[in-house]
Amino acid sequence: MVGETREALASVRRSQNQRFAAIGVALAIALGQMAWFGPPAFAAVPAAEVIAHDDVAADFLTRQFLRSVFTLRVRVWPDGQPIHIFVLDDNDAVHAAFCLDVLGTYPYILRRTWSRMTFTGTGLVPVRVGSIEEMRRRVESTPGAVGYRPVSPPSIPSAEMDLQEAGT
Amino acid sequence: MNRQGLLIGWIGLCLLTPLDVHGLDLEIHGAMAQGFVSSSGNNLLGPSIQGSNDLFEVALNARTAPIPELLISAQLMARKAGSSDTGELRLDFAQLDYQLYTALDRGAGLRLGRLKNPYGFYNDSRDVVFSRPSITMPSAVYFEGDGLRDLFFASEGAQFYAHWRGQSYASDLVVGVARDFDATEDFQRSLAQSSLDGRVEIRDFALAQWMNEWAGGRYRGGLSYLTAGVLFERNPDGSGPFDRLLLDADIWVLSLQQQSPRSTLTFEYRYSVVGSQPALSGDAESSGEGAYLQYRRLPSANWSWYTRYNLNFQDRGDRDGRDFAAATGQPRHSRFSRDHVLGVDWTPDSHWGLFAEFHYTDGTADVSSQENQGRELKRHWQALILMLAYQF
Repeated sequence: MVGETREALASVRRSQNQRFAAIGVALAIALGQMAWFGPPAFAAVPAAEVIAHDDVAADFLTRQFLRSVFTLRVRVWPDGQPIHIFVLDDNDAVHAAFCLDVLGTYPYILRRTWSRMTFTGTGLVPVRVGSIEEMRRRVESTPGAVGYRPVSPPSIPSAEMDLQEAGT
Repeated sequence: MNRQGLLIGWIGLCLLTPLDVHGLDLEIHGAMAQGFVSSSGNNLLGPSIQGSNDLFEVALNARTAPIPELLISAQLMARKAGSSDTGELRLDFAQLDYQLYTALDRGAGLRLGRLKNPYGFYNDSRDVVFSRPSITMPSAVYFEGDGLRDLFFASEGAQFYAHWRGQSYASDLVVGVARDFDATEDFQRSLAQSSLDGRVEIRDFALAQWMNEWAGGRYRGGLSYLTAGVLFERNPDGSGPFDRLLLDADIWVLSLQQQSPRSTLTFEYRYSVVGSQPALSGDAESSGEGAYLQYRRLPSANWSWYTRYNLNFQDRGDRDGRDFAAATGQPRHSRFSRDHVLGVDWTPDSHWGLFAEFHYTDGTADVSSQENQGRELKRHWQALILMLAYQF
């Protein structure tokens, strides 16, 4: 009787181990698949672009480095100047466009990263501004500052002039 | 320091935050939370069977960057959690973080001081309820119920960190070591109602974490490793019940997360091996494991709900505890825990939060014996935890 019970328990344990192993394998496959995912699809014409203070070299404003900047992994530009980040509200369309088009992420992911970092003390938190105008003003006047602005749609002056000439 | 004194001091410091201290660009943050626990079957974080408000946390931190590459930050914390934390004010962490190297796609730095331990997704942000995955940390990975929170949270030593990124991924690596330190006071604090007659030392502490992100952060995954020795021995004057007991722990954690606009799905698995000299209860080495799966839904920016299934096994080879019961005559349910959790958070603005969490648990592996001295533990039990919190 005892032998049978032991046998039953051993087989339960084996099936539990098998279950754990199966879960482990499934997760390993899922993780492997995730490695193939690329960044989110970008809009053909970006609706927002990065802006920075005059003393920030344009070479520094690469997509890779901006991602590190906005996820608070770096506090200084490569030349050693401190970084000051300005952002609009999470719900702002320009903020969303900047996150998607330039950073390749989403506002909600940045927000969660920043919440995690507010208390960990490993980085200084972005300053939220109330408007695009305030953004422009603060980025222009703060050394080492970085922010963004909407990209105005390209105008088509040549087509208008052709029409005018044809009319006269 | 009693709770009122702490509250008054904390409010006083809140009022100081607009000040620019000595021309330094000093950034100050704080948080406070009051909890209420009600449970049936076993006590949790206080005498909760009768209803307990013995759960209180307050934290205050400050940071500044005197030169751009150097960030100095420190946090004071007081925490009352039934008999597993006394409410004494302590230095939670104090760190100097120096960015050694910053290139466009990678960087590296060094941290020194009393440093938070990166372990799993949430160990280094467990200090405030707003950045925890739930009111209570998942016991499968984070060992909160054992009163080891302070020992786990931070260690005194050095950490080297590096990050690098490619087109669609970003990686973070941290490697740290801590000096041998006397943990007797920490243990005393976590055994508030009983005293420790002897000395406790943590030695050979080291950790490493490799964390990755893909698709702009939509997927995160990583591996954490922590190793430490815990030495229990007699007092210097020769008194005390321990002759000498050395525990030697190795812990591995696998962490995976998927983030969507309205939800997150998180899975973490912990495998730990503890060796002891001399061997405890016939085994020189025992290996435990735990895992949890948590789904959080965020219908709006102001509120979210979550559900978690959390498993904890003291011994992988004896998950149902029958061998243990046969060998020791003690109930087998102390060797496992299957915890079903449901919670909801309401954060109407960036300062206030109201949190509620319900547990239905099968097993008492996570039940604190200090909290339940002199009573028989119940295998199936439930708990409701509420917390009101404020941060700035």
